[in-house]
Amino acid sequence: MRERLGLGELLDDAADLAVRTLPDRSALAVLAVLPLRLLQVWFLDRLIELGPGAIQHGRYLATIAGFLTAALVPAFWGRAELARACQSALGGEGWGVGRRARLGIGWRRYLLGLYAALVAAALLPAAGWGIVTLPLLALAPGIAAATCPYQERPGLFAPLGVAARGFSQPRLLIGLLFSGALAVLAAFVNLFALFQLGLFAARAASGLDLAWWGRALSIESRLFDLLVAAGALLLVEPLWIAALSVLVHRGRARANGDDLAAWIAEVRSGEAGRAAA
Amino acid sequence: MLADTVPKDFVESTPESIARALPALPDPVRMTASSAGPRRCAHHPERPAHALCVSCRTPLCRGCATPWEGIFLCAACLAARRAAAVRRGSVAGWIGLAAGLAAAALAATWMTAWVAALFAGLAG
Repeated sequence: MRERLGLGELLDDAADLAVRTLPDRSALAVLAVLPLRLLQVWFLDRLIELGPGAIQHGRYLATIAGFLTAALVPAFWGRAELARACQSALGGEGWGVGRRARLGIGWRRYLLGLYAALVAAALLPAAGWGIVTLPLLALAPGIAAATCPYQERPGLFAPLGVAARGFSQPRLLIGLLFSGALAVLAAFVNLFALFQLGLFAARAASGLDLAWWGRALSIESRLFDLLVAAGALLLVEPLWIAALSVLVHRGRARANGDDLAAWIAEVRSGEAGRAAA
Repeated sequence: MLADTVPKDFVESTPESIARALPALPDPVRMTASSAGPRRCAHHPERPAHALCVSCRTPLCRGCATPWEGIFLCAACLAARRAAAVRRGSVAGWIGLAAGLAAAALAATWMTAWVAALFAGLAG
């Protein structure tokens, strides 16, 4: 009997991949997603500033949203490269983690995955930001990136089908969502504390009047809060993509029997080794 | 035409003699008639030929002949035809994908802007 993949094991493997095995790809993903996060901060800041009058500035907001869509192009590339490296590391040694992956998702797979991500970006706001769609909004771009290395067939529906199969393990996805939310919260608190500590140290060391900085880096500053939230999301991004990649890879391996093939190969190599000894 | 070419000893004829008597007929028909004759599968000489590949005219046994859209093909020609079919499908797929990408990018932009504006209006 095959054991079910547990959330703890999934998070362990994801952390191992994102931090130890593939730190270069994690850094690449963070850099690629950075413009998207900064534009999201700008968009939300403008939206809150405009308030109820935002509906009268639809074209202005649409211009910023256009930049957001454009920023999704490099952001998705960074995510897809990390997912590709995770897939290669997981697939290269059966269930083990460790082999280095070469760069290059391939423009075909990238376009197919980007299409799935864009459709998700278009459909989810249309469905309304609610209790049900908010988790999907968080999951869909990551799932689109995690399934990108498995995209094969061009078409209007085939890439969406591959991405949709990434949602096949809802129990683990819900667990991942809670873990991700906790991780973002912890990263937010830590980043905020880091800035306050830096401000306190600067005041103590220089003796200068840093009142403006104090106001800019306070919890009352909306822009600072949004920037720290974006920073927290950026910090968690590689772990998030790695976790979804592990989930998708293991799910597919179970579905097509690759896990059993890897296990049999492992057993046979062990037997061959014992026989040679 | 057939009556002119059939020998007089047709009733007592063997499959080989029938095959010899049908030189003008298309190859697949002749191959069926001479399945026990001298023609052998190009890949399995020990097996009698069952059909000819319509594309490259290679004699094929039952194991090697693959019916595809009502005609027999060898493995190489079948692979070539299937690859061509996939290429045709791919072109259509890529055209659809390009259209889908453009539509999805536009929809994502406008949906994000207008839903966010609506949400801000409702929240305010």
